[in-house]
Amino acid sequence: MAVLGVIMLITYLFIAFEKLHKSVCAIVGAIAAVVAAMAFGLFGKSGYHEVHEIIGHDLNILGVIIGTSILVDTVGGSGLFHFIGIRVVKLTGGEPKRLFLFVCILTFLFVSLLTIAPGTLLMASLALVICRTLGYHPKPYLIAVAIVANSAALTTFSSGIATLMIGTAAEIPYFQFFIGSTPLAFATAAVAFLVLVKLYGRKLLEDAAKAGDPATLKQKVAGFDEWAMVKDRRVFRRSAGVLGATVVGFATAQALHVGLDFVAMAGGMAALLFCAGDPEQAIKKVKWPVILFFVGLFVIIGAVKATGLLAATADALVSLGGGSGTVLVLIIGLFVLGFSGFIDNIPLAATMIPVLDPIAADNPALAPALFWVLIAAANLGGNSTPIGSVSSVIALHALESDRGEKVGWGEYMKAGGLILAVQSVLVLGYVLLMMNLGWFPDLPKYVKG
Amino acid sequence: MSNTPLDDDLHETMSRFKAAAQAQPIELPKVEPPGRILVAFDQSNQDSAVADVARELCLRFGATAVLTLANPGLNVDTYRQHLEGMKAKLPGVNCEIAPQQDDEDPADAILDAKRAAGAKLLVMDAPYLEDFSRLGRDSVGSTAERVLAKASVPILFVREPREGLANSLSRPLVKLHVRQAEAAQALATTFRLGGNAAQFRVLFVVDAAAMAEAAALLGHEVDPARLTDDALLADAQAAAGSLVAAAQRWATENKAALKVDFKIGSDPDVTAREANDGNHLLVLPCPADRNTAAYGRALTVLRLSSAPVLMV
Repeated sequence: MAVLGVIMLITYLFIAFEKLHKSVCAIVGAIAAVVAAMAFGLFGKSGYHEVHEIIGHDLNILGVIIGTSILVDTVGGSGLFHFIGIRVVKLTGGEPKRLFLFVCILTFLFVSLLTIAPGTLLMASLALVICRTLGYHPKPYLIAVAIVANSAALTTFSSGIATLMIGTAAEIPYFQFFIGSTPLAFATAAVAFLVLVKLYGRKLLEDAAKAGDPATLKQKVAGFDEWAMVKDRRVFRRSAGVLGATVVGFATAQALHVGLDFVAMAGGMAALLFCAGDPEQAIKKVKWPVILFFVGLFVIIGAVKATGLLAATADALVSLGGGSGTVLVLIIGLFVLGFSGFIDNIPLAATMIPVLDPIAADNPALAPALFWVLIAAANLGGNSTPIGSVSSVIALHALESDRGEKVGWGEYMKAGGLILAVQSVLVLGYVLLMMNLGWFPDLPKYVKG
Repeated sequence: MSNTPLDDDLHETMSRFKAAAQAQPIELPKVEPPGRILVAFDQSNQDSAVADVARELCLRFGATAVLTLANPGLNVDTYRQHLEGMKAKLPGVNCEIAPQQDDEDPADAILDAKRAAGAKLLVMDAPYLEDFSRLGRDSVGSTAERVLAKASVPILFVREPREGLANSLSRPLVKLHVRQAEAAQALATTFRLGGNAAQFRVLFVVDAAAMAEAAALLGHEVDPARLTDDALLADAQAAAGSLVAAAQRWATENKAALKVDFKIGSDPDVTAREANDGNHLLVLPCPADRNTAAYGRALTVLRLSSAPVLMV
């Protein structure tokens, strides 16, 4: 138990401190974990075959990542997302506070639909180009993109990878997200927007005043032409159709008794077939390092789970809660919110799932609160630091790459930390209130169990 | 330009937004349909193909076809007899037979006939040499070259004669260069010709080797590792934003099918291959100044193209 625990800990530390490429860390960690597990006979009679069982159990996550990646790359090639982005920006007339609001809204929309990495990349690019064109300073806009994206990852089952992992493991019905998670997505995004306006509102206006008179800026924005990026309008329309159908597919997957991976793959293939996709290019663009990272992670956690360490951690957590559901939810929420800023939320969520699973099985009434707090905390916890989430890494890298400008930890944490503090109160308050009022629907997996 | 995969993705995404943010509104010029089209024959095996294409053009524009035969030294009867035969291949078209010119040079004869007829468009053949592997980039014929050099109106050159050549007018492929002044005119002419039922294609070719060569001539060092295909295509798309937007706006307003492509490679080779493989009418903007590199490039494409080529 101790050996596997140490392997997991060392792997996570290497991932956190980026001493090695995180995919290499995960795979090397997985190899070490398999060797240790086999040496201690943890895989029982099935032996090495157990590794395939572990990976097979989480194959749906990999299917969703591959399918959506192909879909987003192919549909993105039609210019659809860029078209929407520019059209929306034109509505602002270049007025800085309105532009700031619309950047937040668009970030929310794109991340909800496309997941956090492509959504953030799109919005970081848009913010940089618009700011350069209008002569605005892009930093507040990019920080907003980084932070609002984490709220948007809570919107639906498929909006964020951590959300997807937790939702899949806990078998949360898709529509329960509109009770457990979507309200938090909107509320925490609103909090982020209000705090950011409070912090940067004056700077936005000062920048705009330096950039030129409002009439000229308005004229510049009006001159943007969203058709400049559309190569084929038929493909453009089909792309919108395929994307829309995939979103509907995600919403109805459970009713249709298929997995989200099936919908994602079907959407990806439909995009390749009907949206002039280049299969070579689209498949090359799949984030294969992320896939390898997941495979390694799943194997490590599977091996550690076989030791009983995670079950023991669950028992310890229950003892710490002293039998109180409220205390337990608070402990888990605060722990995940705190650690997400420093550890990738994916390994954190992946580790917490098998810890919460036995607790939920023993306390079905507590299950929804445990998983909703985990989803919210795993996604929002990254707001506290510039390395805490995929969105902050992408947005801040984009700023540095395009403008050569770095955002320091102190500066980022001033905004992110304050926002996270308010969001934490909101999340914990909401989950505890809903739990104590009994308004969370039961999770079928645990009720059945 | 590209350091990490994230930088590559960022560059590509930003280039698309730049295309929209930097697009300068372009008004496509109004193109009046040519009332009279000079159709020049030369008693070659391409005459029937010239007649086919000319008929389709005249029907589309409602224009009168003015027929001429540009072989010097022919007696009047042979001249008239051949053109009467050609006239029979243009049913439904209002045809006139141009007076025979007495020039020694067929190119001069065609240009004089054009002037005399007041034609605003010229249709003629340019001999098509099939075996380029052996002959290299040979001439399109001195007559075609001289007419092109002196003409002040668009010329449609018929190259390889084949069945259903007139259908290529419904599949125009416009090859554009982002900084070419004639690009908008070429687009407008193509749209006027194709109408809203045609399948339009607009092609931009990024010639990395030519770009590197030009940069070297200007004394700029170019790191070949930074000239990745994706980065070049993204930059080209950003630069072409104004033309793409103008083309798509026209297509949207006229409910026409239009596809824009960006390709990497040697400009003349890629352009000719795209036109030949797709059974297109290739439309090339052709600068008035015949001493420019752009004119030379257009001429090379004409030489390599087996598809009919409209030089605007």
